[in-house]
Amino acid sequence: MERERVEPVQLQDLIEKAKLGDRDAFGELVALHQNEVFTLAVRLVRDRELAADVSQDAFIRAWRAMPKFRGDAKFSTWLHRITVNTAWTHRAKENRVRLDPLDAIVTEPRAATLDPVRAGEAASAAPKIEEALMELTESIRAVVVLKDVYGWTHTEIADHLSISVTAAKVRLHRGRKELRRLLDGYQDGAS
Amino acid sequence: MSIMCRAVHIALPTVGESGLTAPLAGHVDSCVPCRAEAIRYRTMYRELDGLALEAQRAPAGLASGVLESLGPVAVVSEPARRDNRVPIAAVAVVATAAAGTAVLLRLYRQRAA
Repeated sequence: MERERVEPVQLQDLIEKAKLGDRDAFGELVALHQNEVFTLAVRLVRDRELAADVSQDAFIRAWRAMPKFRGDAKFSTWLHRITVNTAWTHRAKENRVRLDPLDAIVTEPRAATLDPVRAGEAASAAPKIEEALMELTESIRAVVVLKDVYGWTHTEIADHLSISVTAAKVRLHRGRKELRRLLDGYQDGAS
Repeated sequence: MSIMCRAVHIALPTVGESGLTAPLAGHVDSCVPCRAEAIRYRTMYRELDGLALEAQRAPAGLASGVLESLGPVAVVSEPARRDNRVPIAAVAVVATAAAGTAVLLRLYRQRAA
């Protein structure tokens, strides 16, 4: 289902209404952001079922925290932070991590910000890189995903994952090296 | 593998190709294996960046599940919250003072006895 593009003014209007307790407005925000929140959750916890739980909890936390949203960051960035915190809370509770077959993952482009050239390159590379990411350990994958996919700073990553900045840098270095090795393996396997 | 090649292999996963120091960047230009390595990392970083544009479809029912689970939001207007701070602080001060007085009185009585 394609969501129609929402102008910043409309989005701001929905946010203001949701801050005042308007459930319908919040429902619209959920519908608009559910795919990206779920995607981030899958990348963090790997298990799609757990990712669905994480996404649901993240939105419920966001609803409770709506009155505190001041708009200093973009709404989606704020949701991402809540999702990371929620995923890490779930991670502490759950020890089970299952790998779903990747061909069961339906991928669709984020239409609102799509640059056709970049999207074409990304779509062709996405399955391999996504598959390689899923082979990293959870704590290393989280750092690589947040830094190299979502562009977080080392300090933001350290704060949200409750680790030191040095640990974040070390994990990033290890993760990138491992990812590079895994991608090489896929290339060798394909040729 | 030369020392410069090793340094490049350490630097690429840390700072990427654009973050290489001038001597290392110069080495990459003249060393074929290091150049190939730099290109592999460049491709990997571009692919990771491209993932930001990809979104997986959320399971059907996620949004409705969220809406069913929403409790009432505790919307407190900013002025009201500020107004509440004074009485709460006053109650806390009075309660602390009362508890302190009670302890002192008890000690005083024990000594007197």
